[in-house]
Amino acid sequence: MPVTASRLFDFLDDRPSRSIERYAIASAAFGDLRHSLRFMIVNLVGDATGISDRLRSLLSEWLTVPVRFDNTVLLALREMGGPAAVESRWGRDIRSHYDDACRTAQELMELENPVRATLANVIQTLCGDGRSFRIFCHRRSREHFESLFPAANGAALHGSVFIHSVAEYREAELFDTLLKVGPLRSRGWGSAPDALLTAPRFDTLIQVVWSGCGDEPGFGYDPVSESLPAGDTAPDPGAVADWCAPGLQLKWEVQETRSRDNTIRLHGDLPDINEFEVFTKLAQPTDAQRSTLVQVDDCHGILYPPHSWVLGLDTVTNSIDYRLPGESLEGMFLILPVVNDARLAGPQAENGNFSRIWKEKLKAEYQRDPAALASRLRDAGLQLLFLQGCIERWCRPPSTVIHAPQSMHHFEILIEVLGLDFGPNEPARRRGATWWQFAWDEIRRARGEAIQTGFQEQQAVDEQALVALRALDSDIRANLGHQAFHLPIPAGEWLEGEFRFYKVLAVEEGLMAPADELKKLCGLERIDQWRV
Amino acid sequence: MDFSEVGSTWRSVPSWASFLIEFGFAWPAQPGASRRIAIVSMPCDSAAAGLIVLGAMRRCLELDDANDVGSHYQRLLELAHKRPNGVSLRHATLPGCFVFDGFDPNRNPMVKQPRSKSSRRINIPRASAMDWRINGEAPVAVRNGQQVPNSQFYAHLVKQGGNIRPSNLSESHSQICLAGRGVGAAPTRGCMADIRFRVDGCEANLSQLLTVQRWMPGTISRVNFYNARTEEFDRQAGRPQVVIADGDASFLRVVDGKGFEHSDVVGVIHRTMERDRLEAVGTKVRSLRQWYDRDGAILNGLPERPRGIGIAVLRRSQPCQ
Repeated sequence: MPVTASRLFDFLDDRPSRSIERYAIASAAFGDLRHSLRFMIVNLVGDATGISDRLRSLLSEWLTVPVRFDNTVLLALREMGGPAAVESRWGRDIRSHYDDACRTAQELMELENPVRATLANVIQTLCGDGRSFRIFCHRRSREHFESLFPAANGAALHGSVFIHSVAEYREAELFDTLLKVGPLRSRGWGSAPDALLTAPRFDTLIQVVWSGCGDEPGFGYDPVSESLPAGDTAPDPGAVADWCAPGLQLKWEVQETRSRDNTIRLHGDLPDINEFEVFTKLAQPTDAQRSTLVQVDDCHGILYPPHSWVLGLDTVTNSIDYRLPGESLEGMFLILPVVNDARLAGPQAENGNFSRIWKEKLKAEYQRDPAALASRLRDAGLQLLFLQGCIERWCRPPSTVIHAPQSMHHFEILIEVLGLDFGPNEPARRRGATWWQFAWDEIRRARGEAIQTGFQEQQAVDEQALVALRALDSDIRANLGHQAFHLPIPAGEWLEGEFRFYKVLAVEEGLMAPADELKKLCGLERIDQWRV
Repeated sequence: MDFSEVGSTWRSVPSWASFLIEFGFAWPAQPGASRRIAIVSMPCDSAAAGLIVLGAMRRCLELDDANDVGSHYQRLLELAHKRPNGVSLRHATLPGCFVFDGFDPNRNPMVKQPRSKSSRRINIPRASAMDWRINGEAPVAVRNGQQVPNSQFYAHLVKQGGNIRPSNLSESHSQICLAGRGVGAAPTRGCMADIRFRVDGCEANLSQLLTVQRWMPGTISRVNFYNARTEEFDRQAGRPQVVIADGDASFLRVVDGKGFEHSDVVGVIHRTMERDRLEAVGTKVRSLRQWYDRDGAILNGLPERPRGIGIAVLRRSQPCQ
């Protein structure tokens, strides 16, 4: 039960201002790593944007989540190749920062993350004082908070302590303190609802940030302020200054405590700067577009362009309809109609057959001579930066999705190099299309991707999908206890294929993803690179 | 007057609720005044839109001619000319449904019962128009000294309120419109029903006091309801003077919506939603600033604004392009 309006207004009326206690933490070693990674992220362009995105994603995570300093950054750096390869490919400056980054990433693995130490102290103090507190964090960051108290097996941080979305915040009761790691941002890494400042349900916000990471200008957005004259609007909260919204008569007094460790910097006293401002200014790929992530399990999600309609099943009203992928979709089932490609009718029923064959062949070739296989693929036109890493991933057995090249053209090359095709004695029906087309269709269906059709044809599919779903009413009800399930489209319907049902864990806005990565099931690790 | 929210204990009407009622009370415009648009921003999901409607409705209870009596005969005439499908009439005392069937020599509408064996036709002169109502809508008036249920509550709603005209408590009025939430009417009604008032031992909830026809059938209605999901009014009574929209989706639908071009609009939103939705409202407000100026005059005469409520009022300065 959310707090009533009357209780909330009594609470807001109780005091003229609330407080933000900001712990700004500096670490020489981590500062060096930030400096080196930032240089590489900004300067790795062209065919190196893949590694740049990967490093940006990792650094952003470390700046907004209380992670243990582990080997993830080091592994990502090693994927670039050795120092000599880095220098020959990207020049001396990148090599120099690469060396520094490797060294500091290695050093950091020996150190405790001071953000974690500060956070643990804060939580222990709050518990000791008997104050009620909540933690706002991304759903996937939760494990890092829970790992702060391993001895108690995470008992100090029971589930109800965490708030992961604006919907959960809206439902929250009043409490004393909210904990947040990282700057206040409306979208992307470490994002949080503006309502934390404009509609507080707590007295004190404790924010633990890395030095230099200022809050996003304009955070604490309220549409009413749009009509206020300049000067009445809130000051830039990126600066350490009180934050106030005169239009709402709300004020936050900010108190900052700075600390730094006693490690020594490689490059003297370079100030830490706000990476998120730097990254925001980096050029986005021309085909990148704003997208909304619909997370369907702990590891997978689907990105949708803004204002797209998705099929949703509301288990409360038992109604199926097309809906906008917004917060109201959370808790419902997302329905993906995976329609068979009429050209490939027949062998599609044998799900997993094609992937088993090509994955076995790929694995055998890779185990025999990894370098030679990579070289043959490159020569055939498969120009991926970390090809060997990709091949290892493609060899993995199918799970929720079939691990395979993202692009159809790359997949065609892969199958061609592996030399897979139908034999002369294959049934004629199979030879209506090539082997790789059947195998690609299997991947497409595993990703829940629609067949590319014209607008009118897609409209017809959408309408027929609703009709077919009505015929499955009792089957759907019988499966509602599962997190995910799929049901074949009943025989006799205009469509052939199946419906996939995924319970929506979370919906997150504000990602920037390439157009060809939208509307398909994808690993969250991959999706992370499109978080702004 | 006592107040209770979601079953909580009774208390005096809290300042946030009385402020919103007073805001609604102060809103109804002078005839011929420029169009105004307001955004009321709340720190939580609430029945704020209903409270503003209640205030605006309370103001109209004081006004002369704040009823549909004058326009009702005109509306019957128009319907008799157009004879739209599915429109039928009911009489205050005669049983059954009636449909339009031409005009008498004085150009008054004639009606008949479609399934009756009798060929009897009845004319509707202006004097008896009040006896007829459109099927599915509220009656234009209740007779024999009857009044809208819970009428004793309205006198207690605002401190500076004037006298209520007793006839207004017996007659419907369609100039104040509540636009429900984008997801449909039921959540709006549910939210309004959570707010209860008590006067002299009698209780009524906000959804009852608003007299929306489908929420209080069988009596007069002084609030026109617009379903923002189906985009339908609960009556066809011409453009409302003011529309109070419950939620961002409803506001965005109404502010540029067909039929609302000349109506004042008050959008009530809460801030506990995603940035994209907040920005959609902000972008709309910003675009309106091309033709509208800020107008805080209405706020001057109100009690102190409770902490956490934001209000922006715009008044049209130039005709829209």
